[in-house]
Amino acid sequence: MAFTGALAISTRALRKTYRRRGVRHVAVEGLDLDVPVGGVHAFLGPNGAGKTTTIRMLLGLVRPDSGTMRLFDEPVPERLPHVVGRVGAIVEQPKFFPTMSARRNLRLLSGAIGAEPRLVDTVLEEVGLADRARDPYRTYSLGMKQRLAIAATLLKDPDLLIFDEPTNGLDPAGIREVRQTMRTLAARGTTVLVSSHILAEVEQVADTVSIVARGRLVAQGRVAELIGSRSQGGVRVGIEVPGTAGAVLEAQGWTVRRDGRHLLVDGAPGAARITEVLAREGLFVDELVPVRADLESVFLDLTAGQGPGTHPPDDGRDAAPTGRRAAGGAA
Amino acid sequence: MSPLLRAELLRVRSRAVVWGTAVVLVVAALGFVVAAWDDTRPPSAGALAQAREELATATARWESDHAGWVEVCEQTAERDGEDLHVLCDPLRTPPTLEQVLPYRPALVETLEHRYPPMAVVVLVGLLVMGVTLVTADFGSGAMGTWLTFAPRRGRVLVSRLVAALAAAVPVALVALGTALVGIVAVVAVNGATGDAGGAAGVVAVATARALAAGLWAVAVGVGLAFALRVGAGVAGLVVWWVAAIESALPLLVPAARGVTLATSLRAWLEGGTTYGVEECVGGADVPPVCAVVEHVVSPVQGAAALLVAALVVLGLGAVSFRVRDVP
Repeated sequence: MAFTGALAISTRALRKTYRRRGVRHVAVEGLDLDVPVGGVHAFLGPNGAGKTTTIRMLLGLVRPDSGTMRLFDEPVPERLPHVVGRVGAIVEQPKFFPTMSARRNLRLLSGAIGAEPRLVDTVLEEVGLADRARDPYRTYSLGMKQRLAIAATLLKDPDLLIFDEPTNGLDPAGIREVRQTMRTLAARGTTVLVSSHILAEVEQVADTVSIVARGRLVAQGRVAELIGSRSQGGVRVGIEVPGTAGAVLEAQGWTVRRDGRHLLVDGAPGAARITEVLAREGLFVDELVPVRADLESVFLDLTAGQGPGTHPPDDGRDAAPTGRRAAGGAA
Repeated sequence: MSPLLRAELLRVRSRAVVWGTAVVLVVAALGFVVAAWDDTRPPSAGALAQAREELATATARWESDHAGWVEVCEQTAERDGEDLHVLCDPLRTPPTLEQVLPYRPALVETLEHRYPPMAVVVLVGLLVMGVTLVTADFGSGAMGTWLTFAPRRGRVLVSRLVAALAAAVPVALVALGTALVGIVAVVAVNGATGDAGGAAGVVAVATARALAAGLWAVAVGVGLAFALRVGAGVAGLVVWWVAAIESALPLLVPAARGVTLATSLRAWLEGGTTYGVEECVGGADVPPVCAVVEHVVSPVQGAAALLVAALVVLGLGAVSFRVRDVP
């Protein structure tokens, strides 16, 4: 699916290979990535799919072998110096100068980019580091370092914020903070690109998503639409007599699978029709839950067998109660 | 001044490697002060007693033999056409205590002997500082973070270079100042100042040469660090260079001695130097006649060679930094 309207990020036929021990490895292969302006865009893929390499190419840290990249319609890396003021980025675990305090690190950065020095205290306050602003960076916990990195990106008041695995190593409270930060930034008009493995977290904040595997785009679109396209309206039924109920439902031509005292029903026109059919036979349900696909199942379907942490295609591990096997590929 | 350079100058002041280099160089400078103290200290009571014994022995020998020495000396001077007074008058006077005591140089001589070698220490220290200032940022990943804020790599390199050079000046001056003040102080305490005329000139020239050499070393260090990115890589290259180019190459190609960095540095620091190359003449029928021909390298030649070397290293560093991916 192609996004309409203005794009914050756009890549076409982007390719990057690395030579390791004399062997050339493809990190990114013909990637066409679009990130619309506004909202939170999730950039997902298994380990080694090329997410970090793509982000590093966008930021000019890594040079592509071929292809084109644009940030806010400016070609990069050629025009990166002109557009970098609009882009804040946290790539993996950002590193600051260890012996300096948070405030001093930010003062240096603000000086280097020509930002107002008074912004330093504002952004430290914003990320909750004002109390520890005088402490050396090396004494910070992982979560504090991540928050400092977010504060650093806010110095630019960027139009686009790129978070690469921002919740790596964070405790649940830290993850929640980062999630809230992303939503807050998106709410005030900043485009947020977040690459992450924590799909449940991403699903809660992302408006749009791109999924990559082995350096290629396999799906792209609005999160709700992507999930919706892969849901087939299955229903999970809890009942005292699953055997009898299963036979009654199968007689309707629906697919029924038994899971303990639950039935997983596919093909029914709706939950109401299931209760109607069962009630007519004097069978009454305890539990009736429509099962919908989630981002994780979509991700696992699309990336099956395409990298570490994925499963082979069709091994059934991600099979949801109802039929939600992948039907589509790249948008 | 660009915001980037201002930020670098602010940062470099608090870099541990800058302060660490200053401390190490000051400690090294104290070594030269100790050496100067050892050179100029007055003789101990034991040494004085021993010297007096030697003087008594020498005086007794002089009293019994000096007439004969003078006679032989006069005959030799007459035969060789040399100045009779210059050659033989010292034999007419009895030995003195100063002649049998260990030699104690005065201030100017002590400065000439002990102060200029500080330049080599400063050079090595600042080379390490220049390398570490850059490789530490590559190693920690701070360079990548910095580039996401300031992506113009050429400007980043120039700002780092200028900041490193700016930091090197006070570090070098503190070390040189420690050596200078220390040497002057110990010479004065030891009562060996003597005629101090010319001391200021010796100090000014040596300080200027040491400072310039130190700045050269910082520039080379920064260039090597941008080219290779890891301290171990730079150390390996320096060891290889010293072994292969500075040591082995002149053995294989003696004329190469004239263009080695060691020769150029010596020429710069010592106000000129020489090196010998064996050259042979002869033909098919005539056996070759070989002689060592001395070649002179002026300080200007040395400085020019060093400048070219620094520019080449910085150029390689800049190309590597612009072209290679940053981790």
